[in-house]
Amino acid sequence: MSKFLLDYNLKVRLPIIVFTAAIVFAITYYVSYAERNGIGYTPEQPIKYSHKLHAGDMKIDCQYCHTGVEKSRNAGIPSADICMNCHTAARTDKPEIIKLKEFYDYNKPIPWKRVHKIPDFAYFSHAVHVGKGIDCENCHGDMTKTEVVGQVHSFTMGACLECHRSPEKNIKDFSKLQEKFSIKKGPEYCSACHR
Amino acid sequence: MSKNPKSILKENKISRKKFFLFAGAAVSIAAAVTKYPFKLLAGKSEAIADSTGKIKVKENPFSVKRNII
Amino acid sequence: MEKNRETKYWRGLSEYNKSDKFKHAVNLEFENEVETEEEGKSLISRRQFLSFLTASAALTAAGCSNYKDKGDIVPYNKKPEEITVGVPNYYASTCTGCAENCGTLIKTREGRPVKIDGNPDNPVNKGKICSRGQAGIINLYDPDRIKEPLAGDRAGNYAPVTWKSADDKIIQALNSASSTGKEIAIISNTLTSLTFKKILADFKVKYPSANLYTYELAGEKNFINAFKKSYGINNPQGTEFVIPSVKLGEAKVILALESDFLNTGKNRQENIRLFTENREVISKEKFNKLYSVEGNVTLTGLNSDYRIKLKPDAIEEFVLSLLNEFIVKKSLPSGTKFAGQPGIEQLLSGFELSQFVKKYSLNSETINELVKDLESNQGSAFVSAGFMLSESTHIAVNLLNEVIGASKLFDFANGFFVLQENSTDEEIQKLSGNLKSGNVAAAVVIDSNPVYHYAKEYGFAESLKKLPTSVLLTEFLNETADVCNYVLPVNNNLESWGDYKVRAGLISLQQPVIYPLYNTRQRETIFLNWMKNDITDKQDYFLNYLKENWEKNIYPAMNSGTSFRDFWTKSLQDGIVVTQDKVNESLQFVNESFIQNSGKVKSSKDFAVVLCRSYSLGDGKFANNGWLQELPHPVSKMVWDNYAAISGDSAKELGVDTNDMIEIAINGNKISVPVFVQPGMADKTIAIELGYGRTKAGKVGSDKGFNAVELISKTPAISPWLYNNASITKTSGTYELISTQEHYPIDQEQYKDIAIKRGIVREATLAEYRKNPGGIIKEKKIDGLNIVQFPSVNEDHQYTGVKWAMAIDLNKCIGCADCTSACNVENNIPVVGKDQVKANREMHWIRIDRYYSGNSSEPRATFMPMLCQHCDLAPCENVCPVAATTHSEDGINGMAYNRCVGTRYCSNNCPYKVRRYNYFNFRNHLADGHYEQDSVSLVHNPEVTVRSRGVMEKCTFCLQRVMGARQNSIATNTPLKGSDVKTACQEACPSNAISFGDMNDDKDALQQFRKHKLSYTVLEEIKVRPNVTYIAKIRNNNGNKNKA
Repeated sequence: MSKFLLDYNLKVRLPIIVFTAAIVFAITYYVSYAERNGIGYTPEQPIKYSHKLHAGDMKIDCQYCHTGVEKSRNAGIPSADICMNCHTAARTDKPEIIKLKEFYDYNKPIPWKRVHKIPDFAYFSHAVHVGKGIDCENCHGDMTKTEVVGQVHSFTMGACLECHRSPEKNIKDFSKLQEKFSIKKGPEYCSACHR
Repeated sequence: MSKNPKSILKENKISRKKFFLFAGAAVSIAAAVTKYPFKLLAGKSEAIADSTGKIKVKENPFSVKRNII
Repeated sequence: MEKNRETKYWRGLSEYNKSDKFKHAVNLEFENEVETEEEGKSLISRRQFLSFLTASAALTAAGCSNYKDKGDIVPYNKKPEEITVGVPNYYASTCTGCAENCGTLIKTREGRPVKIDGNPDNPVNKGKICSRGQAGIINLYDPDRIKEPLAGDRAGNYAPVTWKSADDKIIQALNSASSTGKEIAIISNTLTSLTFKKILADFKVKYPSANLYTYELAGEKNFINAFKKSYGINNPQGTEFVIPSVKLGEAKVILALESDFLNTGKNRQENIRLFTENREVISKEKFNKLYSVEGNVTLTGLNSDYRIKLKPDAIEEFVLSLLNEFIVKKSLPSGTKFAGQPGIEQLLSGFELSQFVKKYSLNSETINELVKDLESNQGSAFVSAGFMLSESTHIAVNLLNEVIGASKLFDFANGFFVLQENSTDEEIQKLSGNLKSGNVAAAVVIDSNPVYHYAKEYGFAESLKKLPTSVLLTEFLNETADVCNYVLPVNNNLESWGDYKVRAGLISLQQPVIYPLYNTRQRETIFLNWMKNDITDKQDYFLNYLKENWEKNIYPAMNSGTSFRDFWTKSLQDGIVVTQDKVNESLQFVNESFIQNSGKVKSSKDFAVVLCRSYSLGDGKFANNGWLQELPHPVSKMVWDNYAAISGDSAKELGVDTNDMIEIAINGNKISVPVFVQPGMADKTIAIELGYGRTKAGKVGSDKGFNAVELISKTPAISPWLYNNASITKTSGTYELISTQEHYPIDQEQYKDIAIKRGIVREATLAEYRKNPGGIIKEKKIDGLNIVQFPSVNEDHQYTGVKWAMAIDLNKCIGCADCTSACNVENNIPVVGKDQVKANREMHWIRIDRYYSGNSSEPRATFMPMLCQHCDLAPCENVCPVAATTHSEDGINGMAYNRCVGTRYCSNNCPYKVRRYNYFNFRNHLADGHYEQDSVSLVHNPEVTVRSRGVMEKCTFCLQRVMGARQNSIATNTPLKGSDVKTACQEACPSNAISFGDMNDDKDALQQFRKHKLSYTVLEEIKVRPNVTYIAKIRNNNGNKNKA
């Protein structure tokens, strides 16, 4: 190659290419950040259930419906018969309740759209976290003010580890929990979640 | 000089265009085969198709479980 | 100036002249037109092609469905009260894999069973269950299960029918048979269910020409008949009686004559527990002594303190010689009542022990020790005889037991309860004749396989085919199904109700843990419907009958003091019902039985052939179970096949070696089997396992192994399972037998006896141990190697909190591989198939290594379970390029499957070679993806990842159970203790050889193992600091290394 061409390539083309690639990468990274960690995903549910109404206005405890959260790895979506505990009589005129009753009577389980999911190779246990006094809203947001459930917290491994490493920065009222349950940090070793 | 390179190209070499055509075709066929394993893996797909649809798991209402383990 | 005088080079005139053409060419590397006329113009240019490619890729990506979609989450509609998603439930039930009917505890998740273990409340098996029980869970989900009733054309084709149409036709046939007086033959395996016996009795009332025939392929017939004759038990046909069991826990000396009571014998679970309870070095020192006299090499023989090789047909002679020694020569206190009896003395006069020892070249020292031990342990010695020995031998053994006072060990209150004796040989032959002659109009075969289990001589295949109606009740299609015109599917054990009585004073209840998956019924339901024809769709049809039977006939005698409902619920919860049975405790030996029967078996010069039971396949029932087919045989470590075991010398005589085919001919019956040279076999003895060679056993099990049933004669000279008139010839062909122990053979002087030299197994005799307890595990000096003390390159991590460790007591381990089976089920281990096992790719996370020592004709064996040692300085962790394997803060070496890229460097570096690599997606690879089908996915433990191709796996110390215990301790706010976690292998080990716990806790039971004088770790000198401690094996013999 002639000296001129090499010079041109090095001084003009190479920096342009590197710069373009870097800008594109950075823009893609930041624009897709939300996509990648899932924050904001708010799918439409088969029945327009409002947490604001039930957990907020009516002050029903989280564990009335999500019964497994203290005993099991899964918190559990309530089965239709828990809803029917009240809704055999309450608001039976409302269209959403009629939908609910139809599901229940025809013995069709309600196909809720899943909002919070971590990959299958990570094993998360609700009982361990709830057992240490960590409140639901630390990860799921304040449900008493949420109409439609969406993901408000990042569920990447980095986000989990951040809280494990510095729980005092991420958990509300951590100092109270610390003295009651003597938590120092969450486990940082791989086998805690990856079996 | 203008003649020599071309004749060298002709001898026992695939032209670049043909090479890319073949490579692209091979990749697309490989992708199609792995996605839809028909013909080659007829036996396996038959076996999977033969299994009856969704199996209903239902517990027996008359069994008595142990309380504490 | 200089430049002008240099010699210039130029390539052509255009360069020399610096023409325009040259200047133009200098700037271009390539000629402009690359395409030539000859190639022609293509439709697309390269640039166009690439742009189309990227455009289509982009469109595809955009056209994809919402990538954020995480799927649905679907709860129950009406959640059953007992189920909490994610929390297991436990149900007590009974296993029906064989006639032992052990109590089980079944773990279910979300309404489906995922693990079977023993019922800890059952006093017989006390929480332990054999490999068949463990692995049997996959039978429930086997895709080869029959899902609806079938009508067969008896040529191998089946068409589905409705229950109603099948039942109507069958009831018609039964009625017509009854009215014309023709027999209805009901064929089944051993009957042990109380309520089913009642149903069959009612059936006979409804159809008077019905006759019940029960059989076992390799059952305890000879033992039971001999016992009845020896003690004059004459119960009427079809009634129950009790044979006392033996308090093996109080036996100090046991003599096993061709008896595999620790593995394939009757009452296995209890025998192992009682036997190993008396081989104790940890908490106290207690050692019984086991002598084994056998021709075949059994697990019991390899675990014995003294093993005496003897051709099996000479065993009766041996017993008579011992009797001569104890009755005629000496006079033992219990034997005096037999001394002086003319018939007995006359019979015994022809036998003499020292002559016998000389005749068969036995070790006289060992025999003398045996005689001394039996003499000095009156009332705490027992002689056990193998099932295959003849009735006459069993009677002689009963007399021997009387003479040495073993009747003190007889336990009547917990004796073996025989609900219904199996049909005699004459009855079966009469059945075979009736079937052939047309006196039988209908046959119902209940969950058994007479076409496979009986030799062609009996003609069951042809005669059942000719019958107007033959019905088979079964879970899977088998050889008998091909000759029946109705095949009715029955519920699996896990879907059934029942009650079983196999021991006096104890009834074991069976309850279903899942609603029947398919359109199947219980066998009891089918029979009830044939009597009443009023079946409803509800699943409590038989349950109501069962409860009624209990309420009317069994519960009143219990005096339980509670209502029947409470009693029933509590009994189902416990799984067992304890009854007060009145048993006849006084048995007198009948001398005539001995005088008339014994002394008939004479050893011959021909080959003896022993037909044994298969531990993994049972009577062939489990042939389609991949886990069991791949479970290495405890003695030979063979997988997927059976073989003819033969001694090295006899093999040389015949001119055969391992993998050669031989033809065995007995009484006109012939089979061809491959040879396996088994160290320790008696000369001129061949042993073959039954249960293999099934032709119709499903996708996984068909055509595996060789069928030895053809050798069972109708009129055997000694016993159906023992022949001494076999003629063996070498035939053409070879067959490759695959054994897991033959992997990685290294034939170099340096590696000879490496297990001893490197201290992998450490043994000592009891005398040595007593003399110098601390000296067994000495500072090791390895020949030729100096252990250099390097300073450690690793920072010593401080483990505060719980640190998990394991201890394995080699004195208790008998090498049965129940731990391997339990680990297979718990951790979703794939079945790889024979060809992959050949390539050393079996996937067992815990394996039993068998180390022979001594010489090849008189070997001893030590069994060592080997699993991931969870080394503190794990060599595998250092070399993983992606840090997929890491050490947790509680001492477990964990594996992150999603991170593993499959370099296999970790396995390369592991000194114990316990890491297993998924070379294929084995579920897809085996038998055309048989185990990848929908139903099989239900058997997987949901707490353990199901691994696919390309990842490394290994034992995780049941990390899922550790995490479960952690979760429970946090949820209940109690501190986590070492005893909270029981690993799957520990739970299943019938001798409790495995202990698991917290090594940082001084009060943990594990400490007594770690601190014991006999404790050691394998390959300590490489300093990886393994966390599995082994307790050296002590043998109760005089340590003569080259003799038995």
